[in-house]
Parts: sequence; structure tokens; C-alpha cells
Amino acid sequence: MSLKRYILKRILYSFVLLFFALTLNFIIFRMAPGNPIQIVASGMRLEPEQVERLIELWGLQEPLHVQYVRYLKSTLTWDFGYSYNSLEPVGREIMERLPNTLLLMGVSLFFAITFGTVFGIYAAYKRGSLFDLTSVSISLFSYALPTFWMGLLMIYVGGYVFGLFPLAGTMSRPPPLDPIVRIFDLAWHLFLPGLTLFLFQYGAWLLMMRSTLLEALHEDYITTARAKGVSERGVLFKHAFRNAMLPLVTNIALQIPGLLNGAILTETVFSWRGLGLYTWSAIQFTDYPVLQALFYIFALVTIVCNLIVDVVYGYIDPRIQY
Amino acid sequence: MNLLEVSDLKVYYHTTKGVVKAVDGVNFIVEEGTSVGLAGESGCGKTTLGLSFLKLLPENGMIEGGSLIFEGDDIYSLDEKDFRVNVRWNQISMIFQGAMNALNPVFKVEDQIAEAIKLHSTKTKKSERLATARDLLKRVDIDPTMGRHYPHEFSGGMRQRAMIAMALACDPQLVIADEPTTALDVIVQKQLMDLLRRLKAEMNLSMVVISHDISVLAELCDYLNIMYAGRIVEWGGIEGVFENPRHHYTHGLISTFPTVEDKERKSTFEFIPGAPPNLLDPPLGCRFHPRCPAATEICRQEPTPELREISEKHYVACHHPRGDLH
Ligand SMILES: Nc1ncnc2c1ncn2[C@@H]1O[C@H](COP(=O)(O)OP(=O)(O)OP(=O)(O)O)[C@@H](O)[C@H]1O
Ligand SMILES: [Mg+2]
Repeated sequence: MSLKRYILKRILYSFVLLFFALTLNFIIFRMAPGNPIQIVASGMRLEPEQVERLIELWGLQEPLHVQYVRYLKSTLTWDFGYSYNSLEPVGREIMERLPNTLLLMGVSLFFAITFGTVFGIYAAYKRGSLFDLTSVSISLFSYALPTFWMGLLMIYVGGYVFGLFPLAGTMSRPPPLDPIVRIFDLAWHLFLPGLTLFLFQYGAWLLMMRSTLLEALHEDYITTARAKGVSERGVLFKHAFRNAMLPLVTNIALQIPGLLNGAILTETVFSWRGLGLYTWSAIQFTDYPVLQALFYIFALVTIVCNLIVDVVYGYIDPRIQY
Repeated sequence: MNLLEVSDLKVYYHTTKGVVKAVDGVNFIVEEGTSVGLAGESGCGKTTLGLSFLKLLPENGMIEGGSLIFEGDDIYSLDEKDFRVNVRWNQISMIFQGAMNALNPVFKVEDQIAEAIKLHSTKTKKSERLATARDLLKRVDIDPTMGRHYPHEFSGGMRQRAMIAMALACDPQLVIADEPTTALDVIVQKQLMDLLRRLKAEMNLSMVVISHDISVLAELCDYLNIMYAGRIVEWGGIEGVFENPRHHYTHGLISTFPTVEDKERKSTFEFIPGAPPNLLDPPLGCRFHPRCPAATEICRQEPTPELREISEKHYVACHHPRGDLH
């Protein structure tokens, strides 16, 4: 089978998976305790006629399978209904917040992978040295610290004690008008939450890179490479690294859900206006439409990341069975 | 002339349980153009000895003493870089035990062969190196276009052939083959042995062939060394050792391997009683004495018997060598 067919198969598989996620998302919210109408009605003191009207408006009187088809149709067309809390369209609120989350996650992930792998490789190269020992200890430490605690510590030290960084928020209020100043303002706000989320991931990357490399170094083909006269550096960077890269790539996909978790906590601690904070407040308000939309998006992100990794794997691992 | 001459080599592994004396005072000679067999039970130190010729020991393995003279040069006195660039693969190459994992799974076979050439003749062009790699594959009876494939697409026998092609890439003076045919089925084994024999004749190769299966060595080698518990206990011309083994261990080892006639007659063959010694704490005196039918008081006492010439080009390390043919 060719690579093209393999990729097509993976895409098809992702759609099937997405369908299951969508269905599960539908079922979960039908089974959730509490009636959404009551939640809204109690908040707004609605008259019984108004409640009737709402039920009709949301189509809750219809049989489940009709609701299900309508749910599928509207979700796939990015129509998530209105937030119970703000009464704004959920789709629009998500699109407003998505860039902030992508920025926070993207920047921290990028630096975590870069520093984690570079130092991980170097620690493996200098295994047993003081450098190796300190980076492993620091990684274990930062990996084990709870994100919210680290976030609060950052705010206390960086924001309060030294006053170098803002205590909360995504941008100054009112936002600066000049685009360049705006970018700097954003970066200034991004620093502490970014650093928190970076530390959340960095240790795991370093430890993983180091251990997969050390494992690869024990393989027979490494002895062959050494016998051929490959230098220690070539052995590590060419022969071992190319093999250690494979589990690394898989791990990017596996880390994404964990990263979303970390992002929810970090955004909440720093009041960073992204999907994480949005999730948190939706939970507070039992805002079903928002939660349903967010769950769908998280599932979508996870599935897409897995798809990307599968495709990349097809290119870098010659042994992959198409 | 002696191509390789090892004297009093000691290689120890340092473990948490103590020091494993895997090679303990070995003398070993390879004459130019000959192939020398190294046989012995599993764990007696064969691979360790082979690896030490290329200084490829695992991290806890140390060369504790002895010298290695190769073409008249004391190559153990070279620094790391000189050794890597001049000795490894260029002068001595190696075919590894269990070729399944000896090739890197993520690189094309021809690229792995070409890499070996590049490391030792940096001035060649990439296209030349690939052409040489394909020639080498042809020489070991692999379709040269297969070079573009990855190791997992090769069968076990083909991988071992590719490994042999790679070992020849830099025209080495000596090739060490560690269990070149183990773990392959009988037909493939036979083909590989024919190939090695043919290459040896065509290229006038010098070889060290390591195997616990002495019938393999009988077919490939001019000389035979028998190793027991980190020491060479007997060496000599292949026929002399086979037909007239002087060490009791050699005798046992040869009898445990059924010849073709034995197999046809379904006759029983002997086993050497007892277990191989623990190299953390080998027996005093002759290391074989606890299992030896001819052991006497002197065998249990230090020092360990040294190799002595018992007939022309036939050495044995035994106080009571077996007599001439009974
Ligand atoms: N890295 C290591 N650390 C400690 N001990 C080791 C190490 N490698 C090998 N040994 C021990 O050294 C001894 C010799 O091992 P070696 O692999 O050289 O034997 P061998 O004759 O090649 O055996 P086989 O026929 O099974 O390949 C064995 O007792 C083995 O357990
Ligand atoms: Mg071995």
C-alpha cells in the first residue's frame, strides 16, 4: 500500500473517531443531572409560558433522534447556540478566545520541546555528569509541581514582589492602539502564564528525550555504528537520535490533552482570556451549550493532532505498516 | 607474518556483584591470509574478546592489561580518534552476532554501507560511494537495487549478507565474524558459509570466526582456538585440533557435536558434565578441573596452566594432556 492510501485511511479513521466523540458529547449532556431549562429559568425568574416558549425554541420537546440529527448538523456547521450566561453566540465567543489559547499553548509547547530536547540530548551525551544530574533533578521537580501552585507563585514573585509583570489579564485596559505597542503589551502579559505552562511541560520533554536516547544507545546498531568509526557525536545525533525521534513524535500527540488541562488551570490562575478560562467559567455557570462546544473542540484538537502525528510518522518511520 | 598478535589480554566487566573476568590472560594470533576460529561454550568470553580487538566494549568493560599488535603497530597505544579513524572498519571490521538489529532500522541499507566508506575516505563523491555500496551488495548476491530498501524489508539471511557487504566496504585487512550464522535456518546458514568461504578465497581475507558451533568453524577455518572461562585452552591447525584434541575440554566439546555420520547412525553423543564456571569467581588452578575426568591435585593449585607447544603448531594448556590417538 502506498503512503497516500495510508494517509487517506488515517483521515477516514479520524472522521469515524470524530463521529464517536460527537455522539458521546451528545449523550453526556442528555445524561447530565439538572435540566438546562430549570437552570436558566431559576436564574431569570421566567413565567411558565416563557419556559414553554424556550423549550420549543431549543427543540427540547422533540424526540431524541431528531435532536441528535439537529445537534450533528449544527455542530458541524460551527453553530453552537447561545451561552446561557452571556446570551452571546457560543461560536463567536470561542473564536474570540481561541487565538489567545493557541498563542499560550503554542509558545510554551515550542519552547518546552526546543529546550527539553536540546538539554535532554546534552544530558544523555554527558550522562552521569553534574549537568545530567542537575537537569534531571530540576526536571523532576518542575514536572511534579502542580500548575496552579506554580502559577500563583509566579504571580506573587514576578507580579507582586518585583512588580515586573502584570498580575492578571491578556492585555492592558484599555488596549494600546499602536500595533507594535500592542504586541509588546501582549508579550508582557504572556510571559508569566507562558513560563508556567512551559515549566509544566519542559521536564517531561527533557526526561523523555534523555531516556529514549539512552535506550537507543544500547541497541545493536549503535555498536555497529561505533565499529564503523562513527564519532561519539555522530552516534548520538545521527544514529540514536533518528530512532529516538519516533517516540518523541508520538508523544506530541499524547501530550496535547494534558496540555489542554494545564492550559485550563493556567488561564484560570492568570485570568488569561482563552478557552481554558472560558471552560472554567462555563463550569461555574453550568453553561451547557458552551461546555458542549468546548468538549467538541477539545476532541477535535486531539483527533487532528493524532492525525498529523500519524502522517508525520508515515514519513519518518520506514517500518510503518501502511 | 602475524597480522594480529594479542598478548596476555585481560578484559574485565565491573558490575555491582563484582568483577567479571571475561577475558583473563589471552594470547591470540592471526596469520595473514588465514582464518582463525574461536569456539567455546556460551558465556566463556568469545564476544568480549572479539569486541576488544575494536575497543568496542560496553561502558563497564575495561581492558585491564595486555597488548594488541596489528601489522607491527601497537594499536592500543593510539589515541581514541586515531583508533576510530584508522583502525575501526578501515583495518578491522566486524560482522555482528544476530544481524537482526545490527543494521539501523531508519536508514536505507545502501546508505549505511556508503556511510562506512565516507568515514574512511572522505574525499569520495556521494554517487561513487553509493555505486561502491551497490557493487558490494552484488558481490554478496543481493540485487543491488535492494540497497534502496530498509533493513526490515530484508530477510534474516539477506540482512546478514548486507552486514558482510558492509564489513568489506573499506577493504579491511581483518574481518571478525561473531556468530555469523547463528539464529538462521540450516539452508541459509549453508549459503552464508559458502559465501564467506568464497569471499575469503577471492579476496584473500584474514578472518576471525567466533562460534559456539564448531562444525561451522571446521568448514571455514584454518586454525582453531578453544576458549574456556576467559582463557584459551588449546589452539592449533584445524585438523590437528579436531582429530587429535589434547585438552579434555576440547575433546568434550568436539564429542558433543554430532558429525553427519553420527546423526545418520542416531548414536548418542557425550556431554561435558557440570556447568560452566562463574566468571565472577573462577576456580583456582586449571579452570576446567571441577569438570575434568583427568584432574589431579596439581590441577587444583595455582598457577593456571599456560599454553605450551605440544606438537608443531599445536598448543595446549593442560597438566595432563590427552595422549596421541588411542
Ligand atoms: N556488559 C557486561 N557486564 C557484565 N558482564 C558481562 C557483560 N557482557 C558480558 N558479560 C559477561 O561476560 C562473560 C562473557 O560474555 P561474552 O558475551 O563475551 O560470552 P560469549 O562467549 O560471547 O557467549 P555467547 O556464546 O553466549 O555469545 C559472560 O559471563 C557474561 O555474562
Ligand atoms: Mg557472544
